[in-house]
Amino acid sequence: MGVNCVISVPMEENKSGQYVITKLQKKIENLGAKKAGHFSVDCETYQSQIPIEGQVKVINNVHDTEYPASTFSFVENGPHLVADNTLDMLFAKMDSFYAPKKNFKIEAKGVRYELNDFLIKVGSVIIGQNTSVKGILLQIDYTPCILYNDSWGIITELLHILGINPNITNFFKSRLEKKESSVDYTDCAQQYLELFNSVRKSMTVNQQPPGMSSSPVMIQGRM
Amino acid sequence: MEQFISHKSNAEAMVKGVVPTQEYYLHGSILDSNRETLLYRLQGSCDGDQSKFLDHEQVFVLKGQALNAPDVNVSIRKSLLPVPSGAVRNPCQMRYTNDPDSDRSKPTMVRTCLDIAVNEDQILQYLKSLGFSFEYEFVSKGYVFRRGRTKISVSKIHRVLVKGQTEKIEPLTESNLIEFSCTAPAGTEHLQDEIKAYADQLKPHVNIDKQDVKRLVSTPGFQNNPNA
Repeated sequence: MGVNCVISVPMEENKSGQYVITKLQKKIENLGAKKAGHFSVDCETYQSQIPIEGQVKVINNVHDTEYPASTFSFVENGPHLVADNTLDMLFAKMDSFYAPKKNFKIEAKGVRYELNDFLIKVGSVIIGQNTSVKGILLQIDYTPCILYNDSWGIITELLHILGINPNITNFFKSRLEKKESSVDYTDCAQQYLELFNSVRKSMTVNQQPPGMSSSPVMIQGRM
Repeated sequence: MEQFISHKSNAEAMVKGVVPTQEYYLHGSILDSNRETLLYRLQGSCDGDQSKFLDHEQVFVLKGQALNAPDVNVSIRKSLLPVPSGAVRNPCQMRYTNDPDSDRSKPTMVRTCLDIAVNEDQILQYLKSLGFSFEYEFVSKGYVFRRGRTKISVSKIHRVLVKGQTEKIEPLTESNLIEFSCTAPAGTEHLQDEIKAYADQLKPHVNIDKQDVKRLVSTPGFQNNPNA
């Protein structure tokens, strides 16, 4: 496990999501990367049926095929937990207290590449039963290093070669701001969760009636 | 189901996507003065060597009164034994159990259970933020044996004198709790006969049988809360 950076790839005007993914995959393959299977990261969201401590609790359970036996559970504005994937069965037992949000399941899936010390994943984002591409995510893992600041330079270089603007997540930015910040197992899931929430938010805004403000699917970086 | 039975352990079964959700169990009790004889007998009839354990267990409940739903009970169990140098401590275990099946015709008690390994550092805050409240805690010290798929534990329950401080404990009684248990997927009822047959073999030493906890709790003088 090394430093991982997940970013949103902007969609191109008048082009389909699949077109952008294919173009990106070709660029990665031209660098000499080899296909190494497929990956999937999904997030199921549960909501408390009654307020707890004065507020409705939202729990996001993230699953990553890189850690197939684990569930990463995040309480919104609260603690997070790494547990066996049987945690999902506990939520099924607590269905009177926590109900899954309907059509809220979001998933990023695609092809996994290996390029020397890098692990590159290109995934399309889909929500619920709808199979149309709602966004494109790119994950770059620099496997030999666990320090964020020491890896950022080489990750940026690879992003520039691929012609992608490094619009990093707020989470990644906070890690870079801390000196000697090292990677944790939950970091990748946290970045996916932040990007999933942005895609969901942009979908909600886009579904509003005409005349109301809307924003593009692309997630704006803070760097 | 045959696929599950062919697995040597629950861990092996879970790798293949089979999750054990049923627990078959029997309980018994033995006085300190007779414990060594029982341990000697268990050593002779179980597989491999006995293992020592010293576990701290905290029980939490999510009360369903407001939603007219049954309470959800989970316990967090972690080992207090020192970790050998160079070794990594196993993650603590969260266990969900529901009320046991009240079917009297079954040879053992049956309940639904889920064992979940969790990271230790945030589990208490996580449960609190989900609305769980602390019920009670205890320290369990004893030996565990294996016989086929059955786990046999002989342990002494200790009361924790100051909440969360496991250094200050005292034995709850002069007896030891004996538990025969086996976790398996639903539909593996035949395992109950296996557990019951072995429990019957130990009858000359100790009576290990179905214990109706609800009836026990309603007995006058029984203290529901071990910390009380």
